[in-house]
Amino acid sequence: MSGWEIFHIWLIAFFTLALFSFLYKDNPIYKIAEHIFAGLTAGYQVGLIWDTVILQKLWDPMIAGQWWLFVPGVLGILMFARFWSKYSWMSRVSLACVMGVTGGVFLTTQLHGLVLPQMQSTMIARTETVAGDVDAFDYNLSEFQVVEGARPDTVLFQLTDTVSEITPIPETQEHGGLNIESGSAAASKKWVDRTGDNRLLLSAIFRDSTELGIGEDYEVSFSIREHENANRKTTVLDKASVVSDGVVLTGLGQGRYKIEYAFDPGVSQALGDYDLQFEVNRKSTMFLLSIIVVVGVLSTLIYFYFSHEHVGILGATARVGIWFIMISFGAHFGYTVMGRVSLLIGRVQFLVEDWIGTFLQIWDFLISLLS
Amino acid sequence: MSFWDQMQQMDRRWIYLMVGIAVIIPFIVPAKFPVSVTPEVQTFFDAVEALPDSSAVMLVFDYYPSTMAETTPMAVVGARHLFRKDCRIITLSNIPLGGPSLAEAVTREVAAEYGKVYGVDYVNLGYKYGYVSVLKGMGLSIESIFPTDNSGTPLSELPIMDSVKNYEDIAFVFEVADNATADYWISIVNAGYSVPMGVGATAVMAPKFYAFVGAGQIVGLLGGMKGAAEYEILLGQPDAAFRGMDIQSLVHLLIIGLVVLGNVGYFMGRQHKRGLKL
Repeated sequence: MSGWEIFHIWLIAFFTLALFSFLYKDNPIYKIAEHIFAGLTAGYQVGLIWDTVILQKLWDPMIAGQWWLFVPGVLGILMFARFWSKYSWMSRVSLACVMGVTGGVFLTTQLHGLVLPQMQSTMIARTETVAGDVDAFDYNLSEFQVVEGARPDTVLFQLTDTVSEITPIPETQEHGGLNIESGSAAASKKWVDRTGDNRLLLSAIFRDSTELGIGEDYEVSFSIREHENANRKTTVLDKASVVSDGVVLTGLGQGRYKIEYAFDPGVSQALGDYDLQFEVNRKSTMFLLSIIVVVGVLSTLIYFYFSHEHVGILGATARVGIWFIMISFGAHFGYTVMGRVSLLIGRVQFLVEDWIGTFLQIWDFLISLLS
Repeated sequence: MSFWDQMQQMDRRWIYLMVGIAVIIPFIVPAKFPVSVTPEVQTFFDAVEALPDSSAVMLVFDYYPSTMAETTPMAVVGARHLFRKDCRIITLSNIPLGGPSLAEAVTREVAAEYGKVYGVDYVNLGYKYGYVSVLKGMGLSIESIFPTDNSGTPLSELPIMDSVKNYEDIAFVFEVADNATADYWISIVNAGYSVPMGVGATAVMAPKFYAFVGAGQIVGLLGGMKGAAEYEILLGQPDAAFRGMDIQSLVHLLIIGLVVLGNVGYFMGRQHKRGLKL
């Protein structure tokens, strides 16, 4: 370790101990450390914004010919009009632009990215993969081809040969009583118009040697992927649930089930070899958890409904809501304690492992000077 | 004044001292408390494990140095897992203070362990102001947002970026965050571009992200130092976070003891006052 590195470690140790000294009581050393930290942060931030925004995003492109950037530049300067009461109204123009753009961008992202998925997750009953020997299988059918159709813009999906034996994907070995029936995989032999809405029917039959339990169900998906390319990014059709995406599951009796999917290829569907993958999961609906989630959400919402006095049923439900809120606060508090302790651990690890570690080197250095 | 009244009025600095001692003891006498792996970390690990070799993955350093005790172990263990799988790592940060430097330090250190080369196996894009426009813009073109890497080298001169143009070429996003930018990665990148992602969040933020795991918006969650320690165990390389777990457990025991003591003291003190009134 070089002298500079040791100095660096001692500097960090000094500021760490200076800030910890506040735990005993406020003192000048703590104040010095606090002010240096605040000053450095502000200075660094100003320099960074100047370099990455003012120069890189505004000044340099304007000099390079993108003269229209003077419009956001002027809007930015108008923000400083707030310093003069006579002209402060001008800053509202800039603020209006900021709020308009922010509102437009955030409305869609927050709605589609957070609100709707979370609402959907709350309303749909949760499921879990059934533990034990019987849970899921993944099968690949190689040499599933897409070839040129007879007419323009048509393609034919076909299994190149009768599939007499279907092997499970290596990394997801066949489980227990679930297995796909040999020779049952099929693709309807008809031309599919890539630009139209006619569809290709994919199907397979699987067997389950054990009966479904109470609350158990199958979740089936088809995937069509580029041949021998396991990357899911190339999946043409990704996970499709039984109900919402058109996969149909039909019981044939005696533990046999037929899965069918009507696939509408896109206009850009490329010709070539693909792998057709079936996946069946045996799922159990988590009734109790789903009920708890729904009751928790509704009662908490009612707690925050202030347009009516919380009496009677409304009051009782709101009190249930308080319990859920308190449990949530408890979880947050527990995690917060863990987080704060982690930060303390990080500092103590530095002091014990790095800082105290330099003592020996300094001692050796002093001995070498004396000798 | 009874014993319980004295306990109620104890100077808080005694508690600081007790916590300080509890933090130092495991350095001298390691207790080796067990660390169990939670399902959220297991699914996170499995998702990374299932990535095809040589996939391009974004490892995002959205955290300030003030939380690095929790977050850096996540970033380190994530980088190790990705390099072990020969994935190409693209680091960036939406945090101006420290993010790019931490990305530089972590990836260079871990890359040296696996003999990875800068520009070929990993790259640090650095920081750009305005995370919403940055996240949306990378959906069209990463190069339009980050024309150069953190040290000013044009992306066109870096071989790693030859086959990476936008989110279409990204197999996974490993977001390490101590602030709300993780929400935007989920709402903009995951929801808008269907890029699978996992989040490593500070413990303070972790409860919120369980909802995203439940909704299937993220594949898994590393919650605080504990989450990082679990990932280290799964990877078979216990490191800083795992070492911190002994201390964490001991301090938690102390805090639980103090909470119990405080409550017992409160009720005993109340009973004592009632007795005096009678």
